[in-house]
Formats: sequence, C-alpha cells, structure tokens
Amino acid sequence: MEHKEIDHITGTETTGHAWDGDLKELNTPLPVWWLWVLWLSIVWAIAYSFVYQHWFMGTKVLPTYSNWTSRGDVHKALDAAQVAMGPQFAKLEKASLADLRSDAALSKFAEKAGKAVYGDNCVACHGTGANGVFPGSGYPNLTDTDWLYGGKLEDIVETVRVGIRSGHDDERTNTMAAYGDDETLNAEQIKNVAGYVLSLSGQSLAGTDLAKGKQIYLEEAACNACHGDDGKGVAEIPGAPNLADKIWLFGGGAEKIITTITHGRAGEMPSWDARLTPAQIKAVAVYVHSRGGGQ
Amino acid sequence: MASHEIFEKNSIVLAIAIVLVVSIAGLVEIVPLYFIGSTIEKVDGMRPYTPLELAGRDVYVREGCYLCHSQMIRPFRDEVERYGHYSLAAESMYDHPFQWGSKRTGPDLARVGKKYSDKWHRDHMNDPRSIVPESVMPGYEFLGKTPVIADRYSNHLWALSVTGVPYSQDMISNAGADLKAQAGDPDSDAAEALQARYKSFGSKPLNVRDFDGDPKTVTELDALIAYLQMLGTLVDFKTYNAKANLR
Repeated sequence: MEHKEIDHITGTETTGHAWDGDLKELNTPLPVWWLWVLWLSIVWAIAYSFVYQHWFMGTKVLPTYSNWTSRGDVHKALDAAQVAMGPQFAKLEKASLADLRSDAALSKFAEKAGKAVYGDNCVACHGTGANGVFPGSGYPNLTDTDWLYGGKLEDIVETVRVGIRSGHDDERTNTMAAYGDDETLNAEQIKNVAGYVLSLSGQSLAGTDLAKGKQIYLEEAACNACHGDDGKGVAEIPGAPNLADKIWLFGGGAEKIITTITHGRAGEMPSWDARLTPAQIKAVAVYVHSRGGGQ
Repeated sequence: MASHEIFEKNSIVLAIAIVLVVSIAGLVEIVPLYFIGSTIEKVDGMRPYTPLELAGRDVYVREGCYLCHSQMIRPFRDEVERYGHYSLAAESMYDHPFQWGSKRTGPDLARVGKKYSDKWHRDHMNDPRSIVPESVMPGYEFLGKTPVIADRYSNHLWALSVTGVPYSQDMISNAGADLKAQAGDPDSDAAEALQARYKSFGSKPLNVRDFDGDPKTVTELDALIAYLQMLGTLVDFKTYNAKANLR
C-alpha cells in the first residue's frame, strides 16, 4: 500500500482513507519524546527485573543481580542495633541494683530500654502509667509498694520471666481457694469472715460476728496459713496479699471480698521468657522498679 | 498504517492477537503460582487450625476484625522489635483467605498468642475501655452469650481439605467433638483424643481449657480467644534458619 499524500494545510501525512468524497484523516506521528519514554521504560523494566526480581529456571529460583532482600535489610538493621546496644545490654543483664545506682549512664539506658519494652508489652494490662488502669480490676498497680511476689529487682525479673499461671515450667501457681464453691464455708460463715477481713484494714460490715469471723479465719478456713495471723501475709508464701492494707487487687468492698472468698481468685500473667531476651526482661524490671514501689 | 492493515481488515487475526497479548499479562500473574511451594519457608511446628480455632477465625472474619487489625509483621526493625519475628509465608499457608491486611487502627495481631491472659481477652472483648481507656475498639459482649454451632465444622474442615489443607479423614469426622473438647477440661478423654489427632503435625500441644470463663457452653468468645491465643505461636524459631530464607 503506497501512499504519501501530504495535507497542504498542516503539512502532515494523511491515512489515505477518504470519506464523503474528500474528507481525509491526518496520520499524526507520536511525539518523539513520548516514544523515547516508552522504549526506555521497557528497557528499564527488563533490567530492573534482573537486578531485583527472582527469575525461574525450571523449578530453580535464580539469584538476583543485586542480592537485595527486604529480609536481608531487616537483619542488617537488627545486627547494627545489636552492635550499638549489645554491650550496654550485656552490662545491664549482670548489673545489680547497687551497680545501677552508681552508674548513671547504665541506669539511664536501662530506664529508656525498659520503657520501650514496657510500652510494647505491658501497657495492655498494667496501663500506660503502670498503675493498673482501674483499682480492683485484677491487674496490679505497679507504682504502689504492695507486691504479691516481691518488689526487689530480682523478684520482678523472676515474675516477668515465669509469669503467673502462665504454663511456664517455673510458673507461680499459689491460688486463692473457692471456699463457697467447694463448700468449705456456708454463706453466713463467708459473711462473718469477710467482716473480719474488712476489720483488719479498719473497715466494718454490718451484721457480722467478728469473733466468729476470726475463728473461721484462724481455724475452719485457715486463712492465716497464707495471709498470716495478722492478715499481713506470710513471707514464705508469696502471692497471698496483705489484707491489712487498703490495696485490693480484685476490689475491696464487702461484695467483692465475699465474691473472692466464695469463688476464689487465680490471676494470670503471661511468661515473657520466650518473647523477650534476658536483657530486655532486666530492663523492663528496672523500669517497673523505678515507678515508685521498688524495694 | 500499512503494518496495521492486517489487523484492521481481519477480525479473526485481531481476535487472535488480542488473546496473545492478554495471555502475556495472564502468564506473568499465573506462572509464579506454580512455584509457590519454593517460596514457602520450610519450618517446624506449623499445623492447620483446630475446629475451635477455625470457629474463632470465622468470628474474626465475620466481625471484620481485619478492617482494623493486620496479621503481618513487616520486615522492618521497628515492627520486629514491637511485635516479634517478621511473619513468614509458611505461617499463613493454611489461611483461606489470609488475614494480612494493610490497615492498622489497632495493633498487628500476627503474634498476639500468649501475649495476654485469657481474662484480659474476656475483659477486653466485653468492654475494651474497661482495661484500655484510650481504646476506640467496639465492645463484643454478645460473643460470650452466643454458642458456637459445632456440627457445621466437619463440613468446614472438609471444604478446607479440598483447597489443600492437610486435614485427615479422622479430623474431619470428629470436628464437632474436637471443637467442644478444646474448650473443656484439658484432662478429659475427648481432649486427649484431640491432642493425639493433631500431634501428627509435630507441633506443640494445643491450648485446651475453658477460654471464656463459662465452662458450661462453648461460646464464640471461647472460639475467638482460642484463635487469638495461638496466633503466631506455632513456628519453632529455634530451628528456623532466617539467613537461609532471605527474600
């Protein structure tokens, strides 16, 4: 098909088709710059695929020219962080409370690292302010001086590591029995002992016989075995709260205390042994210890 | 113009050319699927969901949890430090469909398993702001009051087995009983039978307990918590060689 008809007005070649006698269509070529962009994009795409993308030979995956991977990147970043922070973490892992008090730089590092670990893992239960969010919710306030499993730095490390009823091999399992559900005590006895328990922290419950309550506390239910004769707890049995103070993990009103005695309590804390490194556990313990209640 | 003339004047030739061009685009998307086996990492511990976990996953999908929560830890240092090891392809190989997601109004849930206690999940589902005052998540109080329909899970497992999830005939026929057993007493015979059935994948023992604090009924809350508590906990990272699986 040979035709080279030039439109006189525009100076552009026509397609050669004629409609309506003499109406013709211009065959304007694509702009040169546009064509160059097209061809270069195609060349770029092919080259890019060899540099960054895996090609296949049969079922074999071929290496890329650049060897770049997003996973390689993250390992590089993590390794660099390890180089930068590793020595500090190693030092922290071995540090005692006295070491931390004498080494301001290490103490600052532990506080910052611990805060990051706390923010990522602990806030959901213990709150952003470490205050357990709501009193009586069952999630302990970490800023007070009342510790079920000890408030020394090493105690906190151990609690974070093994958790409470967490399924960890060394988990802490001391449980408040359900005196009502297992029929050790009847409703009246529970009310009396609740009245006695309230009296330990200077409160009272109307219509209760304190003498009877005390007898149940010391004999029938033997609450003193875990909570102590004076309600302040027994050093050898961690996990049993002090009943003589005004801090109540599951609520301190008469109704809540009766519920606790009737159905028992078994709080849970996950073990962080698998999720955090020993150095991270130490760091978060230092942070928690520094919130006000550390011993 | 001359070079186009053959296409413009023969509709059959034009149709064949269209099919050829479209096939190139199709092949680029389809061919890699035949090599998907080589992109899934070899890991220890992965197993398909148990019927109860699957029921929880159904609740997750039904309630649109994926609209606010992703289940994919991206390979960035900040993500790895916050959530744990970046997600592997192997970890979602039994997901139909996967729940990776790209929207995070709430946190990523790919490794939420064993991070919080069951009580936390119960409190949080019933009233999120009772423990996380700044949360914008809706409450899902009805889950704890809605029983799971256990009988439908044999069919569910069968359908998944058709897509390639390695459920055995034994698992499929006992799905209903297994579902109830997992939310019950861990020492019961039914629970032991369930553990034995899923042991073949070489994974850790299943979480068997009353998840929702109501031992009488297997509710959707049991199912959802069972699902959340196993998310991201299956792969044994002690035996996983990260450097051999760079991609």
